[in-house]
Amino acid sequence: MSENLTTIIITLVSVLFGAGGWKFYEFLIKNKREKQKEDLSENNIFRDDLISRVDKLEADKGNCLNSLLEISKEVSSLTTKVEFLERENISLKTKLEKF
Amino acid sequence: MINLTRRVVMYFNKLKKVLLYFDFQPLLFFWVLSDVFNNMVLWSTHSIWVEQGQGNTYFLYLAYLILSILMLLFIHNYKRLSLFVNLYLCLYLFSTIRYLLHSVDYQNIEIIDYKNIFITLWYSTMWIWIAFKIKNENLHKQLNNE
Repeated sequence: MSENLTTIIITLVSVLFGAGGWKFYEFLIKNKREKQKEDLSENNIFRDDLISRVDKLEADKGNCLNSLLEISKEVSSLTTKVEFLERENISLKTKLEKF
Repeated sequence: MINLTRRVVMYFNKLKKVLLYFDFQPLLFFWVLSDVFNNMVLWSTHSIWVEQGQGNTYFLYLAYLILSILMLLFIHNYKRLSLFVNLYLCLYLFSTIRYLLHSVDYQNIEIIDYKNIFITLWYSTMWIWIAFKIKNENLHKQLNNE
C-alpha cells in the first residue's frame, strides 16, 4: 500500500509540475500573440495614415495639373498678343519714319 | 566524409520538421490500435493476475484499454483527444514511476534492465510529446479564433 502511495504522490507531483510548466508556456505564447496583435494594429494605423496622405497628395496633384493647364493657356494667349503688338509696333514705327 | 556529415545533418533537420509540422493522427491511430490488440485484458483474466499477486496490474491494463478505445473514438476531435491523451499520459507516468521505484532491482541491475528503463522512458517521452503537440494545436486554434 505504501509503495502505491509513494508512486501516486510522485505521479501527482510530476503532473502538477507538468501542468505548471504548460501554464507558463501558455502564458508566454499568449503574451507573444498579444504583442504581435499590437504590432499589427500599429502597422495598420501607420498604413491607414499613409493611404490617407497619398489620397490627399493625389487630389493636390490633380488640382496642380489643372492650374498648370490654365496657366499654359494664358501664357500661350499672352505670347500671341505680345507677338501681335511687336509687329504692330514695328509697323507704326515704320509709318512714323515715313512722315 | 563531409558529404556524409552534411547528409546526416540534413536528415536530422528534416526529422525536426516532420516532428514539428506534420500531423500525427494516422500514426497515433495505428499505434493505439496496436495497443488495444496487445492489451493484456483481452488475452488474460483477472484471476491469472491475482494468482501472480498483481491483481491491480489487471485494472491498470483495463484503464489503458478504455483510454485507448476512447482515443480511437475521438481521434478526429482535438479537444476530447487532448483530454484522453493527457489521462493516458498520467497513467503512463504512474506505471513508469511504479516500475522505476519498485520493479527494478537496483542492487543487481543488468543490461536488460537498462534496456527496459530506456524503453519505458522513451515511451514516456513519446506520450509527453504527443500530449504537448495536441495541447499546442488547441492553444493556437483558440488564439486564432479570439
